[in-house]
Amino acid sequence: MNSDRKTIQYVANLAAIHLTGAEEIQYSRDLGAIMHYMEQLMAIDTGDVKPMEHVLSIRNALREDAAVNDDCRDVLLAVAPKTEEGCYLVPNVVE
Amino acid sequence: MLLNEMPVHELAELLKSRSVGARELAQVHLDHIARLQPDINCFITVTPEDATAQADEAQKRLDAGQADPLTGIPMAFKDNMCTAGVRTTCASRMLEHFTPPYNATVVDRLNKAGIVMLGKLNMDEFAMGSSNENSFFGPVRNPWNRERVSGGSSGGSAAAVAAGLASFTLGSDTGGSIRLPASFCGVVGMKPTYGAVSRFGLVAFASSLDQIGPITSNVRDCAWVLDAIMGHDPKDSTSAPVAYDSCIPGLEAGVKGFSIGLADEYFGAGLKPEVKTAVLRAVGALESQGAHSGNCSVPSTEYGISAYYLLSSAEASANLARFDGIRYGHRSPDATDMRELYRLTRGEGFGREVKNRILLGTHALSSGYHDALYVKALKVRRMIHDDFSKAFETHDVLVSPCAPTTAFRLGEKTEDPLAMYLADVYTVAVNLAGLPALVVPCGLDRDGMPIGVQLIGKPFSEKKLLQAGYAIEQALGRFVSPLVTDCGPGGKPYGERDGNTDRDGTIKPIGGPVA
Repeated sequence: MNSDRKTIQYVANLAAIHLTGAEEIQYSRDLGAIMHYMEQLMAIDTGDVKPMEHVLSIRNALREDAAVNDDCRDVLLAVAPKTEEGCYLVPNVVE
Repeated sequence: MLLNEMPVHELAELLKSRSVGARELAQVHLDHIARLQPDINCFITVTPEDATAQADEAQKRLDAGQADPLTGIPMAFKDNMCTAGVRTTCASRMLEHFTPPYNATVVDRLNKAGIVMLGKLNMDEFAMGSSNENSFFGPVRNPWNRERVSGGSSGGSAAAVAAGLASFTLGSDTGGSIRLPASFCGVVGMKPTYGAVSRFGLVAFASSLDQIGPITSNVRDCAWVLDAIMGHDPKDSTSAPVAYDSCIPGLEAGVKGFSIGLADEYFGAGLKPEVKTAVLRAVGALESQGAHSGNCSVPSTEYGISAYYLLSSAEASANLARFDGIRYGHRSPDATDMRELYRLTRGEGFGREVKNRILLGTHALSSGYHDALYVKALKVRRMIHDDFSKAFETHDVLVSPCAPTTAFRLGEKTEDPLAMYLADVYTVAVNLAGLPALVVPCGLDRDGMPIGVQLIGKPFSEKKLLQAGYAIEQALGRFVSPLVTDCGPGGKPYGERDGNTDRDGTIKPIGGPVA
């Protein structure tokens, strides 16, 4: 990985995280060392090895379509930082 | 013996025989927490009022002869397990004021068993760390030496048991987060098989690797707690629908005929000689009881750290996308549009290491790097899995050190993330392969710091691991931290108290949430 400051800015933008200038320099250094270590993976011949996303041979876990919760709108809204008239409040998205 | 150093299975007898009341037992622990919390910083939130109410409910069950094995036992949860009505912070500024409206399945199961919750335990932020120095609420200090780290990320869970602040705790383990602190704090920790314990209500870090497990002062207690929390849960789609046997019968059956594998890769360069000596002593204890050992190999172990940190960070970058300042958690007050709200909220709410992991994971999943990094790591994961499967063709249990060293000094590795990651060198492969692993104390180094031996088994072989762990414990004994017995001027061993009739006493709040 190229971990220069420009790359850090690009990745931070993808991750939607604001970084200060000092943080950009620090992550450039930290991630540079980590990615350098991880270059060891490039040397391994993984040939026909099948990627393993998960240890369990998972299939869709289906369950009966039954209502199990009561109306819990107010309970869920109560943990939101900003609400208005029973809705989550977000900044203006339409001009 | 003091009540707060007694094993769960002995406390249960005292509660059932009414020699001790549930309130008294809770109060002993709350008093001990009040004394030691300023030093050790195990807890993020202490809940004396909930403990009182639960102790009273437990007492009713005990009095009615309707108690479960864990009824009335004081314990605590790592602060990434949702507890309805009790804040769940993940040791992050992002969730500093978050109170979940529902319980994790493990919380429901233990409540049903009648436990008494003392509070929520400190941890590395979002379970990302190996030393418990990444907490928004400050580091946990090791009960054996307060200048040393507790290990992470379940540092509060391990230190609380080691210091006698809780009879048992739950932790979570994504790459060693139960086992490493258990090893550093001299207690027993089990990372169960992936899918054996429900993850419902566990704040997700890396969903294909996370697993909840017990931290206890001894192996028998570990079996007791596992019995209470294992089992299929329809609310967790990765919960394994298999039949679970109790881990308790056969615990003392011994290890005669067990084939113990010693993987060369776990005893190589970087391993502190004292740790190696202690682990081999544990192997000798198994051999003296009828097990036989032989060398084996898990060759892809050396790539475990790289594969683990790529995969866990990739999954974390997706899981932590939910923290956007809208539905719960921190919200930046300064944003004027949506994009800015996301960026500022996440920049302010996440700590240094969490941002580090999100950036690494986002990079590994980004266009142009997905195949070279993420898919490559997935292939290495299969190689590690297959290596273990091969080793288990000829061995029942693999025995290794849990960490290359004992607990290091606070601040020693905080400026070097890679050095910190390498502390996990013996633990991460177990998560990548989904295997169960048990850590049991097996000695002290010359500085008096605990050493842990790791027992790795086939999927769903928890019972066998506990059998082997019990055999080691019987041979080498328990290792009790000096703080367990540091009960202040009023502390007296059980049996030397001024009467044990304190059952109706009031549990005094000790100041509410501890920040």
